[in-house]
Amino acid sequence: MKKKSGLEYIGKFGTYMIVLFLLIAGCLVSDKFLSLTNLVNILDAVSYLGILASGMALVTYCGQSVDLSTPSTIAVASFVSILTLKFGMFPMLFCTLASGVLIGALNGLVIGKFRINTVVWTLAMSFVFAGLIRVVFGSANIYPKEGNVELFEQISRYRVFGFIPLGVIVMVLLMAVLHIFISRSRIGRQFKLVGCSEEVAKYSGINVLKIIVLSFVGSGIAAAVTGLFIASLSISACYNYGTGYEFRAITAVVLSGMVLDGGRGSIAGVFGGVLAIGLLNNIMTLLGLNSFLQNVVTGIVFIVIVWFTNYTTKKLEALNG
Amino acid sequence: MEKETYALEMKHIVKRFSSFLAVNDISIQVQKGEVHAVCGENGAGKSTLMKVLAGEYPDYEGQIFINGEEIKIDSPTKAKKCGIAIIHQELGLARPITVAENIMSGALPRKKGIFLDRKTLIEKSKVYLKMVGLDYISPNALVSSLSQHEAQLVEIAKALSSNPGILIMDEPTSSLSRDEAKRLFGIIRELTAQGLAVLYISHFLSEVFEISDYITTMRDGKHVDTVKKEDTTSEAVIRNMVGKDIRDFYAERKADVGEVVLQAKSLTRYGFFKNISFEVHEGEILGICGLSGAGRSELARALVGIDVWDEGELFYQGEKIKNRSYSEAIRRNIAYLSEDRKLQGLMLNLPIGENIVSAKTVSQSKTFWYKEKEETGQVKKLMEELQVNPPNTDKITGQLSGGNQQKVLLAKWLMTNPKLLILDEPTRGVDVGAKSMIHEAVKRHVNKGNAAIIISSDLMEVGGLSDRVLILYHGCQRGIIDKEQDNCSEVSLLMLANGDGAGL
Repeated sequence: MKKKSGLEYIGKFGTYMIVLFLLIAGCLVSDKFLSLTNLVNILDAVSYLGILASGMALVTYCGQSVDLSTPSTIAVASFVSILTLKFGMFPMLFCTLASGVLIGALNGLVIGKFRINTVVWTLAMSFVFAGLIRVVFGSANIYPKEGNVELFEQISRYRVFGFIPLGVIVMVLLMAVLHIFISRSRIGRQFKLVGCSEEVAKYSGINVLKIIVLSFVGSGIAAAVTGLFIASLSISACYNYGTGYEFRAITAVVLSGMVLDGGRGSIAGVFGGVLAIGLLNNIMTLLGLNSFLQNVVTGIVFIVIVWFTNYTTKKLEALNG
Repeated sequence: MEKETYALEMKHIVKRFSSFLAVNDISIQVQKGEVHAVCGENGAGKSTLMKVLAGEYPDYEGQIFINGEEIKIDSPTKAKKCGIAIIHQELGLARPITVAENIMSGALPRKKGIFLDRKTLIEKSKVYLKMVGLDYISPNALVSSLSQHEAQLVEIAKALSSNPGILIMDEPTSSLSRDEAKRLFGIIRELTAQGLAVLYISHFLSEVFEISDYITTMRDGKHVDTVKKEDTTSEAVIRNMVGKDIRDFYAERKADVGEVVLQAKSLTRYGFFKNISFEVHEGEILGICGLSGAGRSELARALVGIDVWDEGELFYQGEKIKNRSYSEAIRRNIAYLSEDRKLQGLMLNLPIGENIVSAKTVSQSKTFWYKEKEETGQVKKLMEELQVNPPNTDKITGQLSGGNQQKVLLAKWLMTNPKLLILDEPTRGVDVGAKSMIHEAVKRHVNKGNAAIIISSDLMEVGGLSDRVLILYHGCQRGIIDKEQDNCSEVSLLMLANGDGAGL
């Protein structure tokens, strides 16, 4: 019995144990680690990832495994933002978010209605959109020609109170709102039930298609916001701006204790997962590891965590059964 | 009596799980060509005993003799070698591959050592298909394309392919209609005539009495009684299983009939059911009876808006309605307890409490926030009324026995306080004790001025519980029988007239 509660504890707070471990490790590695600048830098470095992962987590939470169309959604959003900037800031914001909503709704409708495998469909969508962009715009970056470029630049550069980047604020707010929505609201509860079993959810009176569409729309919006920030940072759009983000987002989601079967975990956990990735990368940078080696380590961490989650769930099941 | 050689003899079998005695000193003998039924409530230890025979628990105590020879069954392979074949309650077939490959999966015929010999595979599997009366099915058909009862028969064919001397069947008819079960019994008789010994586990006492020669009852892991079928009655067997007299199993219920709750006028869904008309009043239970595939569940699903209907009218409390979605029906206080509790009814990996509140808080309520805590009192009250065991709201639902899961499912829908409660197979695969508990709860709910519709393959249940029974046959309404004028046996007569050939 004691062993069981210990395992449950790890399942719930495991991410934060990793975060704590990394914090301690960071302090040992470098005395600059705990400085305010470094801590803000860590958050800054993972803020786009965090925004993306919290959207992706919605898809995972309602049992649809992962949304692999995010890299292309990011790219599409970066183009939409650069191209619509000439109409003004608010039309640009509206169009960028709308592009995310549309791609998400398309994914959700096709997957929810026709029961196509999520991984296959979203991966195909990713190729289609990346391909379309290259057909229309080629592989070169495009830059904004008209509109308020100075203000556009500020989206990724503005610091609230002079030191907290806007991206960090957006990430924290988004996660707080989603966390409360998922854990406390009735619709959030429907996400959980759909994640546990679509069939049972249907026979409990839940509109499963609606929930699946909502989750993908959430993921699409989050990817579009990420794309907007990336476009603002480089003041340009390019077909490959989202490349690699999806894997890191999945890593964060899995680190959070959200299993890919759905219905478990929380957005607060995803925040922990994102933090862990940020801390890990920061420590590796402080240690002087190059970015390729950092990728190797992130990949290995992913595999270990997936193995460990599987192991604890199986152990728990064995203890319960 | 002289010393006989039994096909299977178990002597003082004990199986412990840490300190818990799941099987406590059981001795059973089965002769060649004999069907020996093992009855007991869920959790009585029947399945554990069967698993001992199947070699899944090598740490049992006691002796097992096969054809007079003592054998220690310490692995499933050993069990197979000794000629023991087991057909599990849940289907164990690989759905995406062909019937032939499934049947012969234990010993796929090969040529030149490595290549699959397709010709022999097909020929051999044809022989076994014929044995179970499925000679009309192509061995090359995919299992996923078969109906459930055909799949069940394929499973039996698969068991036969190892040429067993002892066949163990665990609830083989739970997914079969009466007609299909009849066919299965014919097959069992043919096999026993050839000298096969059969151990038969079932909840359906009528079946047990139909097929078996001896009946052993178990309770709490202990052996209660072994008798020749001729020397006992189903009442006695039930008494032995439950440990108390339940003469009032289907006690008379005085229906206090009120207003019409639901009225259907010539409801039709093309290809599923046509021209269904009925009324159900407050304080009344309407039974719907028919074979699986007669359109019973389709009718129920159409009533609550999960499926559609094409023609006809539906009136609910005097108002003409058409539920466009299931949540609309739930908000009208109509509940549908679906037929398959594992796939459609309960979130098996969530705690009991969350399951019970789910329909009310998530589908019926219209608030923005999810409010679970406020329902705790009501949840506990329902769990107490239904005697859900363990009485712990945090227990994971998947760990409960089938009977308790079914109680949780009923509690989930009673939470929504339904004016009309539609029950689809509310006690399938459930032990006698849980069954009567569920029946009592339904009756209590109906006596409060609500209505219920009950769909069941268990004729005794439909006949015993309902005030009137609607007979469906191939989607057509064959009549409504009133309990006050007719009785159960006449229900069965009508079923007979429908080509079902069932007796109660």
